[in-house]
Amino acid sequence: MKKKFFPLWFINVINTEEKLMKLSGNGLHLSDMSYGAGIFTFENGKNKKERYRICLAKNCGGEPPKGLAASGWKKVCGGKNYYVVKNPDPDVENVPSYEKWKSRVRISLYIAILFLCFGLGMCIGYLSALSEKIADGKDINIYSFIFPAVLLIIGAIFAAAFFISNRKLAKTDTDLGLKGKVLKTVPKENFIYSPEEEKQMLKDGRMIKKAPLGWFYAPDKAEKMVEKMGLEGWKFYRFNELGTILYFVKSEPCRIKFVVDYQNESSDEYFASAKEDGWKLEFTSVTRLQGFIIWTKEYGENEDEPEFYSDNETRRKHARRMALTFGLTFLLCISMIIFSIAMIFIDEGYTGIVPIVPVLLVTGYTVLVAEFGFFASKTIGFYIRTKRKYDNKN
Amino acid sequence: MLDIEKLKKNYLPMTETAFYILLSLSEPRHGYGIAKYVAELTENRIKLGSGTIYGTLTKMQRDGLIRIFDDSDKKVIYEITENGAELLRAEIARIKCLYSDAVKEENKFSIIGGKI
Repeated sequence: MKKKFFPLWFINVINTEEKLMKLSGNGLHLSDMSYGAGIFTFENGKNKKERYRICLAKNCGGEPPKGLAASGWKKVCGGKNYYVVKNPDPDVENVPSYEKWKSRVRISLYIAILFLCFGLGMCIGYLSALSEKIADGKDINIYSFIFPAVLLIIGAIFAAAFFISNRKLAKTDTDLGLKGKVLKTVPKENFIYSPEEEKQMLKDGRMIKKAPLGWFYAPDKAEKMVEKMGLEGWKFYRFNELGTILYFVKSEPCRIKFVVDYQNESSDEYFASAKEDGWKLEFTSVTRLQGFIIWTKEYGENEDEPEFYSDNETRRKHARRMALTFGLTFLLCISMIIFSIAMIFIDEGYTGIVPIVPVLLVTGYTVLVAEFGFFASKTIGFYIRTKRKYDNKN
Repeated sequence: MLDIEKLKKNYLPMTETAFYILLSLSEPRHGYGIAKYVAELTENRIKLGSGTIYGTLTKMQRDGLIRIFDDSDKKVIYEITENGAELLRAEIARIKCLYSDAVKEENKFSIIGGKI
């Protein structure tokens, strides 16, 4: 038996699995692992390569799905929220999904970028303060530079590592879903007409565009508007890349179901199953975190209206998710502005002349508050309407 | 794994959506396969929307009622766990009780109300 320590194994799980496979080729076969501590236990055996997969699955109790056995996967070990399986065939094609890892690495990447930006901001702040001190001929305290510099370096290292891991995981994508490409908000195939044709159609009046203010935030109203336009002979065509302008083309009156969905995180499976169910993707957020996803589906006169949310519980949850997100963002903005105003008056250097920087800051925050207040009031309105419509019904 | 008693408290009585999703998992299926099977089984009485299925499956996965794996076409397949099956059995027993009570009492209502 031999123990090995891989401290940051989880940053790039594909690399870790490749390392485990290599070790099995050298006669060391994984028998157990300590997830948090990064300690891997091996048993001596034949020099035979085996394929390993470390899978994340909340509340799985260490048990892999039975369906995996059909393609030769066997359990090695597991814990509350993960399991490890191995396959005697190193080139096995049917590999358990990396879906959960993708979402975890994506979130970690964004957090690392946040740290990087924070470190960078602090370093710039420190350097500008330093130049002022040098100009004034004051003493320089170099130690206070350590914290921002460390933050910057750690942020950069982790961001780079998670970026590489993210790219590697994206390559494992399937033909379903979004193929792991860097996303565009509006899928390429939705642009049926060339830019010249679109220009001509807009001129001829065969195409119109509409830009209702903040329409995203009251999905029920937006859905009704697009569906009504369809019945009046204006078929929804596409969005602009920011999602602020809707294009319609002249057509026969048609029935179109327009759905404004909001997800905190959307996986490949979300896109794959909706597409398979006949929904057409019209718009999505690039980060795949906290964003709007717009779907459409045409249907015939004698067909039932298709539903993206078919029960009242998920309808209410969808509305609540939006209201909570934008409501909380609004509260955050409010607290930021209060904090900023307080800082201006608490600031020891305040001499009665309003300093420029805090004024700019407060103006910026006021714009933010107005904007997020608008979003919050719209989404809360949507939640109240949804709740009234579907409450007390199952 | 979440305590089964806690799960029962959270899930029972089940919503029609949760019940039919678990009921369709007598064999592993993918997301759209679940919707198709439920529509067939209920003769189109219940058509589960994509958003509803995704939301419910995500929650069930988090609570350990189902597990996922990929098939040879790289589609995500859902499989019921022991806890999921246990919950479904409890719900079926509850529905059986409801059904037998309904049948027992049904006749008493045939003379009350009705069309005038």
